[in-house]
Amino acid sequence: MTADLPLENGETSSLGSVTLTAKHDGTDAYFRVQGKIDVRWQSSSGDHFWFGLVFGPSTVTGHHKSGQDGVFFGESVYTSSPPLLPVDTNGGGKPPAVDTSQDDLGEMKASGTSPPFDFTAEWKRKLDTGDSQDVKYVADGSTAYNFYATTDSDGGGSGGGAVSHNAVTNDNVMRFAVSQSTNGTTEAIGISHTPPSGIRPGNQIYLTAVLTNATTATIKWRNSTMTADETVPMTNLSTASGTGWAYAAYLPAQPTSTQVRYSINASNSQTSRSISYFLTVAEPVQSGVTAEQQVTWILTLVAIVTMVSCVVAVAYAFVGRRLRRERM
Amino acid sequence: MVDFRLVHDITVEMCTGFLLLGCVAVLVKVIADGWVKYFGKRSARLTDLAIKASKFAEPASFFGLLGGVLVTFVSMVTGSLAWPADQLTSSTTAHNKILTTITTQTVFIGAVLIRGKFHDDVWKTKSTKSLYVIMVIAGLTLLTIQNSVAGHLAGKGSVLDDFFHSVGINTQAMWLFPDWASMLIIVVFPIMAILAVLLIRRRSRTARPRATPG
Repeated sequence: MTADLPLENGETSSLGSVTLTAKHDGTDAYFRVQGKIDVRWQSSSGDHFWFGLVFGPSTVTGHHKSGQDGVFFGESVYTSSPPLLPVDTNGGGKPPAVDTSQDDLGEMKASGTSPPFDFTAEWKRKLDTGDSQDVKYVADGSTAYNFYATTDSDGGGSGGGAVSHNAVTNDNVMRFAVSQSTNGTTEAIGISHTPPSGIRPGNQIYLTAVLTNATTATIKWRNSTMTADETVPMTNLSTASGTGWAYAAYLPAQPTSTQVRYSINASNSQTSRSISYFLTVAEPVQSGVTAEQQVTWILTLVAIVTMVSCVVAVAYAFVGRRLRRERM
Repeated sequence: MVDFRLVHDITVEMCTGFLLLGCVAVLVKVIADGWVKYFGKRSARLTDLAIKASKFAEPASFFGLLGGVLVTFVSMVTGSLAWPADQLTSSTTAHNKILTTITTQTVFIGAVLIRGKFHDDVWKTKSTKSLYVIMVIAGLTLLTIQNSVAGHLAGKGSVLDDFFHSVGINTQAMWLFPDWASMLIIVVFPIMAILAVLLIRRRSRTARPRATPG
């Protein structure tokens, strides 16, 4: 499905709409947004812009509403430097809160030498991520989802441009068609795997999976800068788990923040099966408080309470003396 | 099993309601007294209404502030029971909420102590009245910011967000003083306060008593 989508920024020029391409295969939903913006993404302190799209059930309309599920690219509160990876968000905060579980895979890039610049944001996510902070996409052809897309370049997570993200409200509606894809021949092999989270740059990535009816398995992977897949074998750990066997593999440590896309390919003498996953390698952002921050916060708390208490004590003394003087 | 989130919601609504009542009652008294003082002769009916409102607002404000301070303590307990400890220690928004709540509570405790000790005498002189009203307005401002942070904590956002962004305040970041500034405040403010109290006492002793008629 491809459609022209009005943005919430209210711009009447080419900056005010994007082309949205979306599809799904019964498991994952894929989105591509192509549009234009008045600044490039140079740095979080210099010129930069963001693109965001929020989904909500049909009962939720408008901006910044509880129950909405968003994906944001380039918002400098979430992202300090390229690559401009998708940030999975929820709720009606300004900006919305970052999901504990990041379930969007993709990237946004901009190009061009003079404004308006072209940008493309692509991402995918599972129809049902299993995350309570995400909206589940029901592919039944009838369940409607309200969604809103916008860009911003004039401050508040952006800078250097003149596009304000919130000027109009377009109640766009999306429905997910009933899936046409089924493949009965691959059902014999079972792959049970959950991508690890909290992977930091510089650390090896340990992947485990439980494979049923498989005799060999490999992992094909690539990060956001690689142009071809690398393959690593999975080792049978000789540990039974349910009806299958535990397998494991290490992926190399990633030197910088990136997203790693990988597929687990399991096979036996008759058939094979492959399932794709992704994981995010990043320094922790917006979640968690370091020990140093805790100490600074406690000092701040003590300082504020001291400051206010002192002011109150002086006010108390002043009122007492002033009223005593009044009575004399 | 009691759902402490629900209990916390109730206590939060109660303390906000009490404190809002206290603050609004203070503002009503200020407006009513102002009407009587400056426009008292214009309309006997309105002046009579203002006198009644002033008489009602004064105890109502104390009731609201005292109730709000007490229920806020209860709300702190229910909040700590409602939110898992790891969520409290890992959320920057939760830290901001605790910080603003304790600051607001300290200001309102100050207002309650002053009103509780000196009763409605605080309204008898211009300076003590002004100080009390400023303290309550400061508390109300902090209460508004505190509830805006609470909106973020609940994932609902806040109508104040546009204002915060316009003045460059990041509502997602943890609000912190630099360590040196905190240390400076912790050391300097008590010394300044002691000096200020001594100065007030000294000036009070040296001030001449007012001449009494007769």
